[in-house]
Amino acid sequence: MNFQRIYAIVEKDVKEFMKNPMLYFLPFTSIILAFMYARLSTFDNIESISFPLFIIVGITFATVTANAMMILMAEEHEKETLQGLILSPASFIDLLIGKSIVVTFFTIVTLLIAFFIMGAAPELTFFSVSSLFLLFLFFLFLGIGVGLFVQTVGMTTAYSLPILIIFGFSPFIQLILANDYEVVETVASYLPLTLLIDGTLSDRMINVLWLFIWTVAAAIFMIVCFQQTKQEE
Amino acid sequence: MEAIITLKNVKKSYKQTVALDGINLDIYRGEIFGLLGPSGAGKTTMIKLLTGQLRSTAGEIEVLGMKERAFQRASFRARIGVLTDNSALYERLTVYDNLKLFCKLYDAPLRRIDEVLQFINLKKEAKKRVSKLSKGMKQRVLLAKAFIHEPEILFLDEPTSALDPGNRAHIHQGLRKLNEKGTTIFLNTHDMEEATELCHRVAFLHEGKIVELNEPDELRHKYAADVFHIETVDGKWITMANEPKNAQHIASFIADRNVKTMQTDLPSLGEVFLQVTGKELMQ
Repeated sequence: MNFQRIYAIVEKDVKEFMKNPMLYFLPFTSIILAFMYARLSTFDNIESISFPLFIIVGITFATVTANAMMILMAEEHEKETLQGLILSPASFIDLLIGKSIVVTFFTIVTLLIAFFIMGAAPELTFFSVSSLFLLFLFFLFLGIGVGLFVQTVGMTTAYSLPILIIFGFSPFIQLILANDYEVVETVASYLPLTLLIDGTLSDRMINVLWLFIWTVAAAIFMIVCFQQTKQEE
Repeated sequence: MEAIITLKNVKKSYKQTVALDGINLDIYRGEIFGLLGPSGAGKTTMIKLLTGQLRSTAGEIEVLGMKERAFQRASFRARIGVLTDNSALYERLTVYDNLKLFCKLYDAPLRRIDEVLQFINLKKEAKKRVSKLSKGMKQRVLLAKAFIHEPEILFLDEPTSALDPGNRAHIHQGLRKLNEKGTTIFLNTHDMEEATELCHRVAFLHEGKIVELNEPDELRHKYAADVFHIETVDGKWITMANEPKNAQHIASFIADRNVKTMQTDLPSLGEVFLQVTGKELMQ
């Protein structure tokens, strides 16, 4: 790992980020949703606040983390600038960390604004912090993988909605369809955001393990896509 | 002379297609080496093998004393520069910011940015966004990006294709200057003029095999038609075979002061390629 190379990639991404309107509109979904929750709900106990807070977290990770990563990687791929990075002495880890730092910062700022609007934040226990970290990595790796896989920025729109619905709205899927379709309820209960919410409310450590498995799967997907891209380039 | 690139019986195939077949080649430090062939001859595959973007199917490759398995290392990548036909720049960033990124990625000092901008004659455009540059200017910035870290070998894949003559001349001038400073240049091209003008040695790649390898002038002489053309003072052209029996005849033209010009029939590299392979370079 080389900090100068990581810093060079971060510096470049910050400049690109500031000039790309497609990216800086991404946090609006989370912020508007936070505003709506804040206006419509009265949170009188920890359970009633936890659910919307984690929904905001899930939607932020899906719309900001995964989506921004997808757009950044797909753009590098589409405009063939990725080749320059791959052929440079920067390692895969340098690229991965360098490309993730700006998106991480952007995600944190979005979450802080959303929590500020809602006037609450998730309780920071060992369980919630480790689960949130794993969930963040899951969406980050998924975003990088899909960004490399789709090859064009235009195609990312086709993938961002399914990612938002399946991984960002999974607790809603569970709520809406659980009574009618048992299989949907079972599948939804193993999706990352549902695991996070259920685990936080019940302190089930097994959920962290499941989240870890999801994160490893996303990491493998990302590495496979990167190797594939390297060969294509 | 020190061989800086060595290929021994190198093969590369993609499923059923053989892209390179039994390539043996030495490229020496300090030379401009041209690999000539039409599209699809295997030139890009060759550059990808030499820069670690692909692995060979068989044979041995050594570049800068390193074996193929070391081509992924940062220590190898720092010693080479690559400009391919799909190299690109960050269009939203300025010329300076693009070069700064690569300066840092290659651990080169930032003063190199000014040096290379001067070198490619684009100092005034340093603060311009890349998207505002002409195609020729972008190509010059790409070239600067490829050599900003002063690589020992510069790999160029069709660096001037689709450029106008003015911009081509700029790039050629830059490449000659780089070579004078000691950079070895490996140039893929299907442009015979470019090869004749720049390269110390050229190889013809045809259907994955090297079918000729020599200095451009040597090749042209080797495949020259064995005839003389004499232009007389009254503008007539007389062609005669380069044989001893014609010596007296030629001498009489000279004695009669009846020779305006006299030349041999040297073919262009493109014509030599056509003679050797039966195919046009631009095909």
